[in-house]
Amino acid sequence: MSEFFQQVINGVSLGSIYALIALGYTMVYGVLGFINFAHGDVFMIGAFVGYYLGPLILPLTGDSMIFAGLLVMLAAMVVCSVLGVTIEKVAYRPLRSRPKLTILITAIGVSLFLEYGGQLVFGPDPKLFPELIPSKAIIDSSDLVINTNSIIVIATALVLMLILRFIVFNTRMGTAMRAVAFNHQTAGLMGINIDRVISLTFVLGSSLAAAAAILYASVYPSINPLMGIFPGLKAFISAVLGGIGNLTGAAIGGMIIGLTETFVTGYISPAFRDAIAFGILILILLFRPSGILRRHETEKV
Amino acid sequence: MTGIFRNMIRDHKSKIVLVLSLPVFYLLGRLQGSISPYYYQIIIYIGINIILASSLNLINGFAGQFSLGHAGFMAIGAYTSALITSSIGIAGGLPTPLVFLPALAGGGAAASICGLLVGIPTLRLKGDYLAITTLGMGEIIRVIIQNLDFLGGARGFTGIARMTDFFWVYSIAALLIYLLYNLLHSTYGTGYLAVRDDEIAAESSGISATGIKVSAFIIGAFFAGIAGGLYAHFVTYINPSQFGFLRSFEIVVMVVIGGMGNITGVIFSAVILTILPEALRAAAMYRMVIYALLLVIIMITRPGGLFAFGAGLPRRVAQNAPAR
Amino acid sequence: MAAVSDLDLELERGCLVGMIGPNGAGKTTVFNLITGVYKPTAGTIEFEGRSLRGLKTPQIARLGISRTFQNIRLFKSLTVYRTLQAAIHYQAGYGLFGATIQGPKFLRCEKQIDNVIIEALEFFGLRDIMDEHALSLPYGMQRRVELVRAMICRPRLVLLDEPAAGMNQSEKNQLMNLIRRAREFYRCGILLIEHDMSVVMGICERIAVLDYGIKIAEGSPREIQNNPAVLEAYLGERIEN
Repeated sequence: MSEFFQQVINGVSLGSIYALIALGYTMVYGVLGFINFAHGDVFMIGAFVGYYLGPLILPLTGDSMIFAGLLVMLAAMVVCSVLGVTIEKVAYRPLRSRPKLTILITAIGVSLFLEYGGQLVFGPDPKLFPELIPSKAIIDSSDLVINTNSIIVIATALVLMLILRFIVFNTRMGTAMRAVAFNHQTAGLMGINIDRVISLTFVLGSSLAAAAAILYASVYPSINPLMGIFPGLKAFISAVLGGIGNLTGAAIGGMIIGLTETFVTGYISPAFRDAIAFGILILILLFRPSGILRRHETEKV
Repeated sequence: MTGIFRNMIRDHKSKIVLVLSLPVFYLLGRLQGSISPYYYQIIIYIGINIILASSLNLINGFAGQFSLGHAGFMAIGAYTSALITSSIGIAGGLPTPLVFLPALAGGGAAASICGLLVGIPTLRLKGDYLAITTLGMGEIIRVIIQNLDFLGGARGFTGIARMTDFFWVYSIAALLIYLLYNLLHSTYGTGYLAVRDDEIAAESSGISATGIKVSAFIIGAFFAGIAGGLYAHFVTYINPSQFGFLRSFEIVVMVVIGGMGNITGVIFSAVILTILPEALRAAAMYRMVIYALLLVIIMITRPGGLFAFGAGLPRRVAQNAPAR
Repeated sequence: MAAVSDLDLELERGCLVGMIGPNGAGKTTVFNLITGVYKPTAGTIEFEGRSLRGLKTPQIARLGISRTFQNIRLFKSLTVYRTLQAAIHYQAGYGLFGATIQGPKFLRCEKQIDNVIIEALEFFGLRDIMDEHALSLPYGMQRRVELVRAMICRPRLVLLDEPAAGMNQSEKNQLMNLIRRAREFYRCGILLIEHDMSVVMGICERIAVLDYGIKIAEGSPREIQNNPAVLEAYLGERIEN
């Protein structure tokens, strides 16, 4: 029983990370209508920011891990936001009126550029991420072992998601985002600065990806330039599962994928770790492509 | 008298070109010995890529369906044809064409059955969703092959007979181009373009979008399978990692850069994009970074394709339409 | 809430009927129901003795019903000529095999198709611009291309969705003329949605009025003009006669 509960915690922890990344995918899809393949690699850059800055910041904060972790996370969020906005301005904006396939190809191109560029700049071999989040095992009376790691991951993710929710539903900028996601043209006509809204979307999405990266690397400390591929894919699948364009859906989807992955690798076989997500993807696309919480996209005739 | 003759040529222009090209390719093929194996290899790869890119052009460019799993069809064709030739065996003493042709056709058929299986459920998916599904299908095919021991699994399938040569590759490429050219220059072919441009309007005009899409997938997959068979019987050793997403992506890039629906453009871009990585081989680690960067730059600056000169589509269609 | 809940409409062969009503009355929905874009939850739709329920759009089109769209839907990359080819596609007379082999049958069919297209282009005055990209034409011409596209396959019923939208009076007069002549030439019935009263009253033999998905009146133009329920639907106030 306690093992089960442990798996649940692990699953929710992993799921929270996927959720954070998925939110980035879903926001960009909601506002721009395409899948930002490069998102997973922005996540990867966040991890490397943490790798390089961690050892620098840690001594400055008197070795207080949580504080350092927070600073590193903020720094990564800033760097990734800049990266995300730059990518949008340079690679996606010129293609806004073009057929979707063109942007898709460009996004994949950017993704490859970051991956191979990362291998050039950082070196292809895996590196060990510094410890920025205290990882202590708490054992309670019923032999249940909970790692503080997981708790912090879940708590941080929750806080970030709540902040995002606040921004999207309780601020003017957030309302503007929702308007643009609903209908580009009308939003523009109402005086909303579409470009600014889109940039904000990328800032938010990339920040969350960066935070997710720091959390992920704290739990799985081996990082390398290709580390964004699978988490990115699974986060994307989470977004589709939850209903792409739907924020709550992305969070729920992330949890489902995280829990499923943890349970399957824990109770069935670790070999299926990545295949599971693909399987879920095919199933959704075949039976319910609009996701669990749909966002109706019917074409007006 | 000469008027009738001239009309005949005009009516059967493409057929004549196709038939004439065959002996030319045969003769060119005999020259194999006079060039270095390295250049010969590149020439073969160019031909195979022309087949791959053009077959994808039918699916993506003509019918407007995002297919990111083309390498999966190639893989099926490669393994199926390899199985066939390995089973029949040269030991049977049969002349090469008698073995190779059915093997290739078998590979193509297997791939097109898969194309049918992929095409049907994905029909109602649009744009990005279709792209992801085809991507997923391609990966699933690869993973399945990887886990089938009788195909060699991850270690690969070795000892394939080397039957591919210049003539095989280029006559098949010519056949495919002929097919696409004729299709584009016919009323029937216009149906594809209509589905691509506006599916709802096409259906309201009586065009079965389903039929068009499925036929595009079947034919496209068929030729991708044949390309796979040609590839397998050239490199004599295949393994699943050669047919992954990156391969599919390379083919998609050839089509997009060539201009979707642009037959000659795609041929040119297949040539260039086969030679380019070889030319960049010296740059080693920088090679892929440069490739990615160039790709993004081309997409931003010339999204219609590098070869989108003028209006693109031929204006008057039937080559036999009476002159005005 | 139903888009269309009480509509009983009968069209005879070769008729020219108009459907009017305030915005959101459900008129385009009726077109979408007839052409199979939407599925009806109740009721019957019959055409020449056949039920249309459950049929897909291309099947319905091949039975002889064609349409135009409220926001013109022309084929983005095709010329006028090729647009018409697309409309004749299903009547080509040969299939994929024929298209690739291009034997004598193909050549004959293509010649025939070419004749039909040229004839239609001439009738509608589009001959000179047949090699132009359809979307590069002025708005009025685009509407005309859409009209030809709907007619060229010789349907028995043509659904026109606001064909006069965005036109000035002289263009509207030309359009009315064109519709009358086309109907005569192609011998088809026409059901048309239109907001412009001069067009509706000018060419329709009969008019049906929809409001909130319900047919509130039907009759000759004169009868409709004097119908108080119709006036109320449009003006929103009771007209005491």
